[in-house]
Amino acid sequence: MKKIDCDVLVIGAGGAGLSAAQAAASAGAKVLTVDREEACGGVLCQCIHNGFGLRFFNAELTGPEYALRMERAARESGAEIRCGETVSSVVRRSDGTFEATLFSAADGVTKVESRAAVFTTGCRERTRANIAVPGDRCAGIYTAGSAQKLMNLNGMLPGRRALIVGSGDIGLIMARRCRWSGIEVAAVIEILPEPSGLPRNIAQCLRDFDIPLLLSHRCRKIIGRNRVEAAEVENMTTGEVMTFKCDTILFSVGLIPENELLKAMGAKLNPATGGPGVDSSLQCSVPGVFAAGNSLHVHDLVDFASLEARRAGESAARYASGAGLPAAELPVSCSRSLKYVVPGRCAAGESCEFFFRPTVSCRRAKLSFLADGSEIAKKMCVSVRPAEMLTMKADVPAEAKNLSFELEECK
Amino acid sequence: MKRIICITCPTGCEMEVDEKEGKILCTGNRCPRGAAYAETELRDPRRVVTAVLRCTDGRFQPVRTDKPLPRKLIAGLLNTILKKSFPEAEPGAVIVSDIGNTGVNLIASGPAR
Repeated sequence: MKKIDCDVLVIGAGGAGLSAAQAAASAGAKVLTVDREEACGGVLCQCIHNGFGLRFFNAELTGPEYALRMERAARESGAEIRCGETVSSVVRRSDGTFEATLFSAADGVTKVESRAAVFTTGCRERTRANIAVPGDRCAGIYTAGSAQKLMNLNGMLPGRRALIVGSGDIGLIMARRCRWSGIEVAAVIEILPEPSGLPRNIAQCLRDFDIPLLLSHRCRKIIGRNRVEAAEVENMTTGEVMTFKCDTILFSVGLIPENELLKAMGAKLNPATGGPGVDSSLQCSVPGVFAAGNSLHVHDLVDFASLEARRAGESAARYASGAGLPAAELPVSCSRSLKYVVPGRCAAGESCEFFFRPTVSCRRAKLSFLADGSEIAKKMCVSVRPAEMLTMKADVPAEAKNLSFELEECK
Repeated sequence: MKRIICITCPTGCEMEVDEKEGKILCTGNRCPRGAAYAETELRDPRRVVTAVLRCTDGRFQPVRTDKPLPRKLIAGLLNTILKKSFPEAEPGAVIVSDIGNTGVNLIASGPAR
């Protein structure tokens, strides 16, 4: 059995993991990054459309281009990347070091010993089962991401006429991808009264092709003997039911952070994000374990995941070197108009970037940072929607007991 | 007056665009790229096209146009690349050059899989 020793083990080599690896290696750590797929890049490899990298690289890139740049940067910084390796467990030993068990077709079982671990394991798609759509269990039902993988990595068409359920960005991108590949798109339906994806994707993926977007509509039933033949769609306002003929249904109904390994280690999860609770170093409740990217909370842009992961990589390198991290003991909470704030704990006197997901939609809102009930910093936000993450950099006061954020609509 | 959404960046500014005396006026954009987008969107709408090519060895390679292509040329480009197989190209290499005399090229955007 093979054995590898490193300072920082990064699990998952996507947009977050490669960035964490680069940051940790640049800080002087010996880094090993592993990924279960045969190539690194994670979901970026199948996201062949453009629109990535404006923040992180100041260039407009496709997913594979973004992945390639990140991979090069990580390797140049000295990080080792091993693909085709699946992590089956990570154990924190009594001396505080970690032992990970990996297996691969090439090398069988490998044991990795590390002083810190970064989890950048991404997320899974919610499926038809998660939203409990009744009807037949026939062929032709996909998550938008699995159809995207079929088309963009395997060169296969999922069907001839599709109905897309859910207006998240993956669903919108797939609507255009279908049309550019000769697949008809009957409609995109969304249960909420407003679309979940970015406005620019509504414009360039639906309006360009005159694809109907039916808001406040749900898929009531799937009909098909062997293959999908039709779907019943209900108008949630009027109760009217329409039948769409189609041979394919793509579900784009949200993402779930993937944290099975962290759960097995006993890390505390935050029910609002689906990811682990973390402090300002992005350290979980298990010392020496860090998290970033979509496994921490679902991001709308890979650029934010990469920026966040840089912090996790730097923190992990620092922890592994024994230099210690700021004692992040101040809890941070948020008002009801915010679904969550990440990180959930920070240290007095530090400067920290916070991430939020609003629960409300409004044209203009004020995001306030409160220390013991009084506002110490604020940011004006425009076009606030649950589909778009908010961020705010703030200086944490040296003396405070309660920190909180509030989002208030401005009339 | 026309309402359009700027597709230049994820902010997606909602703009109101008007043509007066041959000039295009727009409001709602938060940066100059919005005005430039409005100008082309009204006169000669263009999009970056992305697709996958079949390589001669049966694998698939992601491709993109290096600049936005006039929308009326998109169907023709997609037809060309769907019908043929191409040898694998290095990421960044030109596969179809100067599409319809526009100066827009189709380039490889990643390794073949």
